[in-house]
Amino acid sequence: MKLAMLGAAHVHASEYVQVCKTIPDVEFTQIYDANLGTAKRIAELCDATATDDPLTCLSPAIDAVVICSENYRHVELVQSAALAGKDILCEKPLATNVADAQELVTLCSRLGVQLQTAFPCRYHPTIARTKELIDQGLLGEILAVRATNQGQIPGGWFADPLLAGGGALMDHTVHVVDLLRFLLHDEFDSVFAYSATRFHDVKTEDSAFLSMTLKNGVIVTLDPSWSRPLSYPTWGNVTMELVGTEGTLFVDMFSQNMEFYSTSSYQWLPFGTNMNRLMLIDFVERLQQKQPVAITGEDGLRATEVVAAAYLSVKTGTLCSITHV
Amino acid sequence: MIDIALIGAGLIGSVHADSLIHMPEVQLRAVCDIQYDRALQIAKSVNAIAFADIQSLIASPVWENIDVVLVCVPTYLHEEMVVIAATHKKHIFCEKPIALTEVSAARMIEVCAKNQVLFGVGHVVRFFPEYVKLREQVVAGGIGEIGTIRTFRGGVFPYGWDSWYGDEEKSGGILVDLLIHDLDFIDAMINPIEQLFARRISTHHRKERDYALVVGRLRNGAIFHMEATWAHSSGFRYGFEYAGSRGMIEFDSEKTPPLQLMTKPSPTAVGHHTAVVPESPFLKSPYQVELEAFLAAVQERRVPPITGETALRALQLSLAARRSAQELKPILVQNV
Repeated sequence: MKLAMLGAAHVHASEYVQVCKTIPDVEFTQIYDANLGTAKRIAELCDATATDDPLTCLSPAIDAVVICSENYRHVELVQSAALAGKDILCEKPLATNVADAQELVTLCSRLGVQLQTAFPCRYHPTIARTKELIDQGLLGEILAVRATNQGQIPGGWFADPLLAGGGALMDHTVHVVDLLRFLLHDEFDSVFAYSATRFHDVKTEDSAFLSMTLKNGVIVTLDPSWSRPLSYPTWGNVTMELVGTEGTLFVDMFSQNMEFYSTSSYQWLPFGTNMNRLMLIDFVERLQQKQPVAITGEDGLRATEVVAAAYLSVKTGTLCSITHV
Repeated sequence: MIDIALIGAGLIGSVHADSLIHMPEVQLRAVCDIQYDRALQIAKSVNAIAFADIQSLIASPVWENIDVVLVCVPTYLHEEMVVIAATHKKHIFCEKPIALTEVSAARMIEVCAKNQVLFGVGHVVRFFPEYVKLREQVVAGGIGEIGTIRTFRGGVFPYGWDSWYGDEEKSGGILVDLLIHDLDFIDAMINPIEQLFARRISTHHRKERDYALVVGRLRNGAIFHMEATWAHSSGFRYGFEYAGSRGMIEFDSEKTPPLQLMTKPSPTAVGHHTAVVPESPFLKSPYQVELEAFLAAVQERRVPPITGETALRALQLSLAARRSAQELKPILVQNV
């Protein structure tokens, strides 16, 4: 299976090409980025060819593409790939607004190409176990969820309103939104949000709190802030406290760390499962077996709807309902 | 010597009685509780007199020399006890929350002012050493400009006498009884709360359980998130995370106790589960520091550290949170 990377500006680009080297019969052969330097840097990690011509990635030799561009370019790159008949794994968020996300879902469906949104958290064994515990009824009826996806500021284009389409709220809302849709088999219904720019000298928000409900009434809050200081021992977290009628479950996806004290610094050494690897394996296997991908463009669209409603709430200062297109 | 009467010998009443033992120049003379056994238990240990109701305490000769009354009854009885104590010219230390409604709190403040007695309210979190230290750091600019504040507080559902915590009409529910701690601390000690938006589990799920999530904004532009829970199956924990432009402070009460006592399970214990009891000892408990601060004000006839007016503001914040959860809209709580 030959993959091409269409856009390599995302921080996950290097991770994806490196884990791919550990997956038999799968390789990245072409790395495209509008910035040739970026393409070269990533290509060097996996012995692929770097290019600043996207068409190179759409040749018949390529089986599928992985889109890791800046958020605002997802639309044009997914469109080009779909028109070339390539199946697609697109970095989250699928798009920066609902209309774009909707258009991509419709286009891919019409052209019969597969579109997966990169929500690797669903593949984490901790989440699989969480789902099992919920489905077994150990928590009873879920009433509330308090979640965080806090992090250090990713830097670069992530805080550029044009390239990223927003800041921390755009970057860190969709993972937990997708996880809760997956875990609770329900859709989001309403959102009230505050955002602010408090930590960094950037033009987007770097902090936000979202207060939401699911259709069945579950109350949810999410903290997607880029609030971890540089000295923090890791990039950030995904945590959830699930409160049910029969019990409470605390989930901390990235707690499998050792503490590492060097002579002058302190870090965490993660020993947990690499969920990006599991996502790439699953994506490729499903394409090979001609099965539908596990996490679709529609899942990406649903998450984008929540993000859009949250921005609307920030703007209007009111509770906003989440409409599904 | 300050002579004290304790009204209400429940959980917090016995904590205060313990503190008084360690304070010279202060003597607990009377303990009153309609659960007479509880009053007697505390009274015996300090050589005080136990009473089964407030009227027999007032009728007793010990009443005349009482200087200060500690009101530690369930919240819905606060006003009644404060009015009695104030009209008898006793200084009053009343547990939080001050009352269940703004008008009730206002009446309590007024009756104390009219009778020229000092009135203090027990927002003890302000005296917890971790909060004192936190405020020192924040005020000194240790974390720069605050960006986000997160707090959590809660544990198992508190039953209390007559299950009064579970009755919204008696305790005010979780947003009034529990979240008031964090609302008061942030609003009074960090930066005034400007607006908030609250969510709470629906009424039919609140039997022996309550849970609320509140977000909001401070006057300085920082945003906050608060969790209050009475949904855990054991224990009680609290903590906070203050993130700013130059750093972050995290605290979790479960991570710091220097003592963890693990005892052999009793032969009758099901499944051989053994309880682990954490303890975090100090030279003086925060409750003792709190009482000493109030009693020092009484001795010097000056305004107590936490006044009725301050406690009323905290109550207003709690009530705003409750209203927000009901009406599902943000509520402005700017102090004018």
